[in-house]
Amino acid sequence: MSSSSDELSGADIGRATKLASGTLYPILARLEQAGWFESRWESEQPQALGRPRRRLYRITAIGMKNASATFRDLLPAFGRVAWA
Amino acid sequence: MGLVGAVIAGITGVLAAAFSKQVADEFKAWTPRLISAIVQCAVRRLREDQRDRYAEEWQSHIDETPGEIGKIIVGLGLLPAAWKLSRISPIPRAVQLEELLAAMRDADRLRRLKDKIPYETGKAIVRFVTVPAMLRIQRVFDEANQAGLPAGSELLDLINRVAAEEPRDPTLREWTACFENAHLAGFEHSYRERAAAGNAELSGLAAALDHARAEYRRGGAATRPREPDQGRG
Repeated sequence: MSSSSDELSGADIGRATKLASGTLYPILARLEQAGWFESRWESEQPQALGRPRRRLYRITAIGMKNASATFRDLLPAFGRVAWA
Repeated sequence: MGLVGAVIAGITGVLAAAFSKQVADEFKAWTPRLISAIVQCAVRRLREDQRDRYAEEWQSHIDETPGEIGKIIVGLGLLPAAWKLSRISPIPRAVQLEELLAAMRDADRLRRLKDKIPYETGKAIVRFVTVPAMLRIQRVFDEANQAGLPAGSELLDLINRVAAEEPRDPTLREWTACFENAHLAGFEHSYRERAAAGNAELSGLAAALDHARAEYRRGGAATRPREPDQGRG
């Protein structure tokens, strides 16, 4: 999710981040509650899709700003994220 | 003897292949029911207001996952996810902050009233202002089986810590002043004791605080505290 216009489902985010479902959904819920993410259902109806609708997540402007700031803080001089 | 052994081994191999295919077919036939049962079990652990959303969202996640084993792994992961989700307070952190700030402003108003009017006359007013403020704070902290208690405790720590790091930030200075002036020490002590168990809410609160500060800087009225010099008695 590199820009605020990208929308990804929980499964897509799980694949990209390699987070297990047990970790992923509580994080998504907290980020959504904090206003960093917002989500919506796919616009088509399940009957038309022939499957359950996907919930699509999108990073908000505030989320993008805070995420950038957080990553900037975590990036040392050699350009990789380091956990103290 | 060698020929007999080879024949027996061949027959065993054929039977094993046929049997394993049968087992695989059975497994494949039962997997959707097994996964559905796991998802239902996870959904039942959620709060009532979360169930419809996550039942559909999780079923769609499983449908997107390739392979039967992969689907089962995702399904099993939903059980701890449901437990964690059910513990998240339904009140958004930003709303909690707003409520808390509003309550603190009430309490601050009380402090200024107390300074200006005689004690005997002021007692009734004190009660009149204090009780709604305390009830409001209590309501915030009582949501989701008092899941907000650690949040409130950590909020105090967080604001004090950040304010110490950024002494010139007018918002933080104001919030810190609200805490200092609010006469909530007794209340704070009681919920600090009850919240001593953990600080897992800190990251969520940090995000909420950032959000509230960003809103404030953007000019959002909801979380905007008083100007620093306004109403100091």
